[in-house]
Amino acid sequence: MPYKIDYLDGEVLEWSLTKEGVTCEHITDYTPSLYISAPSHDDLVDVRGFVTRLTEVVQTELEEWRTGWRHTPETVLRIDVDDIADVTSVASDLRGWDVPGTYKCYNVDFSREFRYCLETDTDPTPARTPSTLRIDASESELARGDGIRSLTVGDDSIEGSPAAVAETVASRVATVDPDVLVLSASSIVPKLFEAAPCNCNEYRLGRRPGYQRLAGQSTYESYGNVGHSPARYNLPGRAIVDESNTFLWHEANLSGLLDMVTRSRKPLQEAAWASIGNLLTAIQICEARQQDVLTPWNSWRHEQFKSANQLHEADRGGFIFSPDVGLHEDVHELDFSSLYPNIIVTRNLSPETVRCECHAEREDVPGLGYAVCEDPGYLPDVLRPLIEDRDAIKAEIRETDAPERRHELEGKSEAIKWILVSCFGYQGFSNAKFGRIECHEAINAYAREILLDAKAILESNGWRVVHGIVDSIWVTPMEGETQTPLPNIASDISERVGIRFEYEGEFDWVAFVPLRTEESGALTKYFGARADATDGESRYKFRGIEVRQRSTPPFVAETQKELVETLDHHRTPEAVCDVLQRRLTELRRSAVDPQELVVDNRVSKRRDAYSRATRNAAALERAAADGIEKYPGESLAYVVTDDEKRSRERVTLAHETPKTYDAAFYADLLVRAAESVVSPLGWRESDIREYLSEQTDTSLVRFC
Amino acid sequence: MHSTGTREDVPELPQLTAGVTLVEVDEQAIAPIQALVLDHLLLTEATPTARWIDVFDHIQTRSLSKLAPSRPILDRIQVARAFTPFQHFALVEDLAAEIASGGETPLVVAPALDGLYREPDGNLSSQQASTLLVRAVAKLAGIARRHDVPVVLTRTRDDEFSAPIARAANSVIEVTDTRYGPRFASDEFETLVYPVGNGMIQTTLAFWQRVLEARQPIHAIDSSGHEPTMEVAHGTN
Ligand SMILES: [Zn+2]
Repeated sequence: MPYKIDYLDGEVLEWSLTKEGVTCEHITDYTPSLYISAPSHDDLVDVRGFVTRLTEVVQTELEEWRTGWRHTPETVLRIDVDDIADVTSVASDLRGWDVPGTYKCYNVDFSREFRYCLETDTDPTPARTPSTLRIDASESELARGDGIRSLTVGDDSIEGSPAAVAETVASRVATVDPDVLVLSASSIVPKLFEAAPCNCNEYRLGRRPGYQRLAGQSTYESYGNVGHSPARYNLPGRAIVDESNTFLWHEANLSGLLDMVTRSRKPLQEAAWASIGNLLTAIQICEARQQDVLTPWNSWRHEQFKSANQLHEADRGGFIFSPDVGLHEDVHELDFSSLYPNIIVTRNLSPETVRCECHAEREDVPGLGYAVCEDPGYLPDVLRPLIEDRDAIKAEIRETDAPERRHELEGKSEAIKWILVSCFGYQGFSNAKFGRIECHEAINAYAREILLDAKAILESNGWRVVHGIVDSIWVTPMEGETQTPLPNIASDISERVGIRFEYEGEFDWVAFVPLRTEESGALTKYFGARADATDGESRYKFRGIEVRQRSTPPFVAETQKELVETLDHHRTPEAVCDVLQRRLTELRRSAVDPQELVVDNRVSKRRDAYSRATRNAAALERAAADGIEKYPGESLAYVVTDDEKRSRERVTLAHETPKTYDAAFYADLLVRAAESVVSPLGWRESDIREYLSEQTDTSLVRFC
Repeated sequence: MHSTGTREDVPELPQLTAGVTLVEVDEQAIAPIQALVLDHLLLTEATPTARWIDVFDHIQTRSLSKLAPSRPILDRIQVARAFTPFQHFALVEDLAAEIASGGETPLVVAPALDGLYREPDGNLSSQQASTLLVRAVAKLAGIARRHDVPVVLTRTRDDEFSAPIARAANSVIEVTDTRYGPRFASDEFETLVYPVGNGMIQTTLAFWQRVLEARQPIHAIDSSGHEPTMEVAHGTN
């Protein structure tokens, strides 16, 4: 079973791991295939005549395939091309050949290694755990015009002229001979090759000389987030994991990554750089292939007409029961387990079952009246094993004592969790190959109904709902009522709904935070103290407040935790403000290590797109002056040194080891973090400032 | 406060006629279009339903449902949203086929018709995208011509790319904001929709709500949402 596929000199190289090392097989006769459908057989014959004259085309064949999940097989034209790079260009030619939409192309935009595995029915799961070697070069080293002079390989740091560094890295890599190179950034590859003392054609970091560039850098938008994908490089015989461009490596681990390799049939390197959406699509493409369904290049399938009333209903979004702002004692949390995936599975929701033609008269979906087909859909088939496997993995985690096994299992569980969490959003995402908005709406409508039913049952059993969102409900005992024990209610609801409703935990108290400027509660901002925290588990749970926000400096985050602890012990805003006062004093005395004040932000637009002088803009400018160009989606770490300034003097970048900071700016952040903690008790920023000013040391005041 | 119900106070909205009408609106304002559509539906028989081919959430069901004098009228607007040029084109094609095979509709609406074709994805060249748009426009014009249906279009920008939309239009209604309220202007009429309040420009939802409310006594919708048979003289047109 190969774990790495290379396209090299007109051949495919299959690299397989063995106990002793690695083997390489040369495949000389592989030709990638795309497919094309046409309104009539005559049209297909026409286009075949045109296609066979294209120099890139090796062979064509009329074959029977299905062009959609519920379609009967039809005759389509299979087109085999000479080179992997020809697939898209041939498809583009064909699409423009007649009026748009006449010829539709399938199986076009697959990634290289995945395509090979799919078409040759190859499982890319490595036969043993691959060995890894990490190469880390700092951003400022990579920004140097004249090559890398310092980096680390494994545990060793290497320094010298760029040529010497390149030579040492190559010999180190050759000695270790890792299956996977983990790079802090993939641009290390071309940098080393450029600096190599020998001819570029001889220099090697892979298991053959040379390297390939697979894709240029680009900025993309996905689910409304701007991201940056750096250029991608390939080394023959080794897989690359680019730490600046991998989701699974960070969110799961190698075991989780390998689990996804098996499920998605994307070999390790491609699975590492894939987004969750990519992986979900790959899993569905595999399922489609098994059922003789081709994957459309562009989705021409549109949603069906629905009334403005139905659309209005469908747009209402998920279940939300606004939090009852304040601090509540004796709170219990209950969650539906993997609610959305389980709705898909138990309600048979799938792009081809929702509003199916064969059962148009049915009105299954609550509130929307959409039909759901009686025949099984493919999406439940795809998700069921994921849900079941994750349940089994979680059960094993509870049983196992071996830390290594636990680590492995947790990686797998995390990887699957991300797929399950994303499958609902994916259905509503307009560009998802197998997504469908009506399926997304149906899932949402069921979820609402399920949560509303659960709420009603809880209330009729003596429990008051203080907050509910998406798949979770928080309750507290209703005064003057007797309460049915929650485990009993939970199992009753589980049975009725057909989805496990789990007792998640007990809190001594939970505080729901209001919006900064209004009385109403922010939907996902709360913190609380667990009553049942076990050893090694944190007593406190935080959601949405500063300590959970990525950009919050460590000092502010730590202080906020301390404030929550204080609230836990004293339950008064005054006690919290006293602690705040002490931290403000430290700030003013420049007693805080600037590294503890690093703001870690994500770049949202390119440097030249900033029209206002923001802190991010200043930091980007500063980085650029240092030769570091940052792209949207990349992280940007800095300390605010003088917030009054509008120039790049406003900030100092984290890697410049800042010595000073703007105390007033950070004092503001601290006060805001404190406001989140005391606002459930009715104190706002003005109350905090008033209290602080009443304290003896008046010199503090101007800092907050 | 204006009293409503007397003929003089009734705001005048242009009536939609068969053929392609291009409505040129400022800043992609959708409320005037929604008002025209609701008004047209209030004036036609209770069935069948208008078809709205939506992009970029122009339908804005939240404001539409506030604007509508009654909920049942919203059942008579059938919406389908497109998210890619391919889906948009397929929607237009399928709708044309459905109407050709006997499906009745009093009205077809396609706001921001050029919108999706301007930002093609999936390696569609701008030449191919432009061809798709031209064919979509032709399909819609074909519906108007063959089936005597009003087809209302808007575009995101007035330029070379959207010129085919203007060329296909049998009439153009320009909606401009004036200090007295929106003005509808075309070759055949020029209408000020009556100014609510004190001469301030009113393009807000509340404004259009009041316009339709003011017209409602003529349409006389009873509480069940049923419209009685029409006995209505309409505006200037
Ligand atoms: Zn069916």
